[in-house]
Amino acid sequence: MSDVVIALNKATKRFVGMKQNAVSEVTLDIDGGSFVTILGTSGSGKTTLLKLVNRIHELTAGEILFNGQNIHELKVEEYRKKIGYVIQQIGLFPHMTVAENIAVVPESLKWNKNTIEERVDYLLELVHLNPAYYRNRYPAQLSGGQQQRVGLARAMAAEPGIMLMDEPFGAIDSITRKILQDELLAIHKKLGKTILFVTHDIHEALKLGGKVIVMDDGKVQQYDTPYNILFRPANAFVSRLVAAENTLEKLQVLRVGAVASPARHSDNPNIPRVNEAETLSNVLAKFMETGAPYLGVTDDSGRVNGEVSWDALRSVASLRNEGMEYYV
Amino acid sequence: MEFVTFFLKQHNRMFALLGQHMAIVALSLSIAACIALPLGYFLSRTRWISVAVIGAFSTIYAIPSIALLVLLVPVTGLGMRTAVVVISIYAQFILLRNVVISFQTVDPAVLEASRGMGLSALEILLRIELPLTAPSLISGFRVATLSSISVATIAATINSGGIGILMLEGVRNLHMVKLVWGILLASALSLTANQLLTRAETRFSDRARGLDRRKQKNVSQEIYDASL
Repeated sequence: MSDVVIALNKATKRFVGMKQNAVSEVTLDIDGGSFVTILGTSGSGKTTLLKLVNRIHELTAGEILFNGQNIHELKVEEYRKKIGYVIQQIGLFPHMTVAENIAVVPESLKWNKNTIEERVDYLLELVHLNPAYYRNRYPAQLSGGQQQRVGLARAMAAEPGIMLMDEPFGAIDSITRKILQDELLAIHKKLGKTILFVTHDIHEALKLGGKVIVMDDGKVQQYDTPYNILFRPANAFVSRLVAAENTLEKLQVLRVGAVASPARHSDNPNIPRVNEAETLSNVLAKFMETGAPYLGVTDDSGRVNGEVSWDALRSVASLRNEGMEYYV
Repeated sequence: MEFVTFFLKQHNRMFALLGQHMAIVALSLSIAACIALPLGYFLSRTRWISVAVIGAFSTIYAIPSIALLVLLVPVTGLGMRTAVVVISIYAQFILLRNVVISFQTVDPAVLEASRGMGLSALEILLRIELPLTAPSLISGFRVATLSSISVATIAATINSGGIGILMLEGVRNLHMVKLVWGILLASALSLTANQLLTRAETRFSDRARGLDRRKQKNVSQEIYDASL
């Protein structure tokens, strides 16, 4: 699972007539099964970087490898069918029903009809839309959040190796956005699909990404875990970017794994437990509810594989942003 | 009474002229559409050239039809051929501009999504662009049809045949009944064409906007209403 799916090697893009590179010599690897967010302001090159991957934009220099193959040697339409693509404006086909929208790529790949039908129902259930209810409805009959669920299902239709998502929840109200974020995390956990997700929302980037690419000025400023982005910013830019996040916001995006230590009290059956994927804000709540000095950390099968202490949690709040020196 | 006896005596010739009229219009429109559809599709990709080409055609369109007909007589001679050429040119302008604009108004997000999911240009054209532009294309085709029917009437002056002949003869011989029958036939043809194409336009428009309910047999009416 941890094989490199996408490898960028000095990937560079300069648009015709521009004096500056939109994306400048970006070199990085995306591991299979990882959820990587690309964070940056408008004009940072984050969307261009994403669109270089599915060749909506073509490279000016450098190369991009997909499972070791140079993407420019692949037939562009066949290559794109292996990549799910979700955009902010959704772009559902208004003249097709929900089921027809989802079936477009499988049909183009000449899948058999029954397989497509089953796939459509499976995907609708995956994105929490009741197939019996929604199959035959048209995009105009759906809310924005429902439309993006269909957009997500459509992008996953032909079992792509990787999903590219360009600010998919950017135009959706904040309540629905939070729900969709949580569901996307659950889907990622369930299917282990590689996701490359562009956002300008730092909270969203840190919450969703197992790793975060911080972009500015066409260059990668830092490519690291949310924990390291928050507490070990690589430079002044990243430091400024994360400075606005207060303790509670940090707890909302960091997960138990960031502060857990090996289990020493696992023999004690009475200790309260939290799942390793919980956010630290939920851990804080658990501490407050139970008054326990430490919590057992469990994996999905319920097995205890570590623990988190009150002191470890507090250390996050008191951790100094090591980048603060840049402000002097 | 005179109207009826005229019809009873002359109906064979009247229908022949009507048929001729329809043939001229159909032939001209087919030629115009065969050029305008592919040309317009390609022009819609490049705003630059499309503006220039449409500009050129609009200059031709500004020439009164009777002048253009007379102008072409030395080239293509009297008769149906000249009529077809002139009507094709007029219809060309209406159709071309309409095709270009139709393709340019397809939602860019829809096009980006279809490109991003790996559909080929042909698949995008057939499965996405044509169904979405159909109502607008039909609307342009309707305007071109009505214009063609009327220019075809005028083309009778260069002996092209068609319903215009009835009117011309009616005016020349002060034969009021003949003139009125000519007007009636031409109007009936226009109104029928307009009616049929308007209906097609509505139907394709419903489909393009996702309001076609035939695929929604198992979506109950309440769900449908609640969603509006």
